[in-house]
Amino acid sequence: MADDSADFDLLSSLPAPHDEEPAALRQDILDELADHLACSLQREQVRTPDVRQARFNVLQRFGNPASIARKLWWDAMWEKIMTQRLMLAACLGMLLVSTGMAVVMWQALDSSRAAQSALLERQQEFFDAMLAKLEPRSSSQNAREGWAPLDVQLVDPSGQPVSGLVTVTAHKKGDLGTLQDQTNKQGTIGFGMLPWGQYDLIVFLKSLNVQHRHTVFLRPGNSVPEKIVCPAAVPVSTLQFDVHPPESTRRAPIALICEVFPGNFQIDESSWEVAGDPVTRVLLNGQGQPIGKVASRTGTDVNGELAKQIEVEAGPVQIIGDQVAVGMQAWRILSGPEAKSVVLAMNDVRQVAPPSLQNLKADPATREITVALPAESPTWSALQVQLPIPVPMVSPQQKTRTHVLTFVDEQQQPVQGVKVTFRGQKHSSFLYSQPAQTSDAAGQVEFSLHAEETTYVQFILPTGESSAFLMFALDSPRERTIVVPSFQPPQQALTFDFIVPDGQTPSDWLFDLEIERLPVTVDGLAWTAPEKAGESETMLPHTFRLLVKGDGRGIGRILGDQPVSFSPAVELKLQEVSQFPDGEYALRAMRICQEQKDQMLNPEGDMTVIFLTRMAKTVEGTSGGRWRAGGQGNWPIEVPRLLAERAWHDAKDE
Amino acid sequence: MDIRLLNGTVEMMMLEAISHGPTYGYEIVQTVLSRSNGQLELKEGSLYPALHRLERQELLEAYWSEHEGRRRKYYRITTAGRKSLAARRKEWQVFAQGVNEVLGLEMSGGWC
Repeated sequence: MADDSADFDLLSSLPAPHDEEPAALRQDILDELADHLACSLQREQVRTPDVRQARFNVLQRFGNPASIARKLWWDAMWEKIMTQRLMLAACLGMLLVSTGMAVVMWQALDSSRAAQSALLERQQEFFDAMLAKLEPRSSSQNAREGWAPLDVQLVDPSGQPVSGLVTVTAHKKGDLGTLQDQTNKQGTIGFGMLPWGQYDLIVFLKSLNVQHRHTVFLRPGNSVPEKIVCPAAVPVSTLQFDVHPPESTRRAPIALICEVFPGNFQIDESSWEVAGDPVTRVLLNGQGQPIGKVASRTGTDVNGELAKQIEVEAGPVQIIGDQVAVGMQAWRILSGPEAKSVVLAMNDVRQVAPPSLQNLKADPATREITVALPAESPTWSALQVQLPIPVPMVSPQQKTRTHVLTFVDEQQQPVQGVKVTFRGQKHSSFLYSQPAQTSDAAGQVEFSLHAEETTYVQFILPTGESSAFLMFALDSPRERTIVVPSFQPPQQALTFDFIVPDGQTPSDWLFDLEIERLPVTVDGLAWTAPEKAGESETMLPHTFRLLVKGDGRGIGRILGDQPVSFSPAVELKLQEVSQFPDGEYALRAMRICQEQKDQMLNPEGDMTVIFLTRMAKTVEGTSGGRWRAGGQGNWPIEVPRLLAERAWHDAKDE
Repeated sequence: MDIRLLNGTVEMMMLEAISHGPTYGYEIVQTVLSRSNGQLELKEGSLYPALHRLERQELLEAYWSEHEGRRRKYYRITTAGRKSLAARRKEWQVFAQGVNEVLGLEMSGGWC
């Protein structure tokens, strides 16, 4: 189909290309706006046959495309341009200050060399005296100027150590990245020396599924561990329902779903929250009586209508904390209402809960939270007005449409065994699904989709690689050919150049690198490696760990996800791997480790087991960029300053 | 409707429209228009700076797909985006209740 947006003026206001502009930025902006204008024009031409009038209407609704493109470009580049200008201004300022200081110094020296000499002597005496006082502290590792140790201790209210995962992020983003580690048996964790400043901590207690956000300030001389009091157990409250729908509503075929959002709770003046997606849903019948907690919600098909099947767990509903916010919705019942399973229509959800159900608190004596909604509450009126809820009609001839896909490789040969999966329904809180299908010997798959539903289709190759989702709408072509990539056996090398600050030698170090295989794009469709690959197979998963010597030579792929600790040494299984699939790779995280040679099991033969201790923390989001396997030269990886200094420090102690 | 009343709520409505599954700019405009029974007609071009801002704030993530020979940018909501949407909904409910109480109006069903 021709690009209907081609004659809209999108380019005229864009600034000249900028040095630091990402290569795809300009084209991405133009493609996105052009797609919008094309959609809008297609729709407008259905209503307005006059092309000029249709274009005028589209622009009236959209605004000036060229100025919007310019705004998007400027928004994307603002930070880089301003940073560049600030850097320039800072350099000029520094130059002026330096020049001024040089002039002042020269004048001072020129006017009174004798006086300066005396002054320097007095200063020297003063510094000598200061150094003498500081001597005991300078022998410790804390004496480096501008740095302080960050130690965190987790205890419960009785003072006992607590096991938790601590994530540290610098308040001002720099070369620190994100540090993350688990506390030891004493409930403590040392993040080593960090630059002075403000840091954000997130403490996550896996056993209780709760987390706490904390801010610390590292200042000179601050060597006291940051002590955080954690909950030994979480307070639990029970939900009670006192819901009385009005008589007219009780006769309607509806069920009520109450959504409960837990609030924060306090432990020793610190605030904790439930981690993850903490919403609890409770199903009530049309009379307002609770049936139980919603255990699962899945998409289903009832006579051509998309619906949601709800499975319910009977029994009292308990939630973490002592306060909640509540919302309540009415759904039309399509089948049921059996006690443990009910099918509800998706499109007829009505909100009935009033804002007054926000922040309900538990009774301190009974630890019960009552959700009360009396029949005379005005909030039922919206529901009464809407009833009876209309049933959408789907005519038989419009119920389904059929598509045929043909999968071929890059030599146009049919590809058998490509799995086709479906996800659909755009305006719902869950995804509709239907059974997957597989391409036959002719590389073909025929499938039917609901007539008016937009469905997202994904392809999975026999080798495990999966495609991005392709959208199939009512107006999509009924027959289509998909070119799939042919993944060749691994035959490319990956070697590294580690760039460390001056004066440090990484030759004795081992790097535990987390590397991601980037998607391969063929005929406009991106294909991603599988998330998991068997340990005995040669196929690499989407993300894998590689153990590499400091001189850049690889030792092998680390199997499993066992983390390396500071102490004691950890036994890791390695798979020898020297060749990698063709394609691009990106570095996601790195740790610096040290081999424990006295404990190594198999130093001469095939390297399958190795003992390692970690010297420096995990740093994510490292600046290794991306690299193509088999590219010219080695993959240059800049080791962050903090990580390198920590490893260098530990290696010296060793 | 006076468009100034929409100030501060456009991002919330966009997050809501995207929270139900991957979607693209034109479809977001149509969703807001349809779900507001034609009351809220966004200036279509103004949508994109807001979408890109939400993407930079990591409340949305985007990917490209091909459709009818054109590249199309799809947006989907992140976990942080869902949390932000829940927080904005709560703020909006408190605000709307306050305004309605001042005006002596009753609340009616809103979000789902």
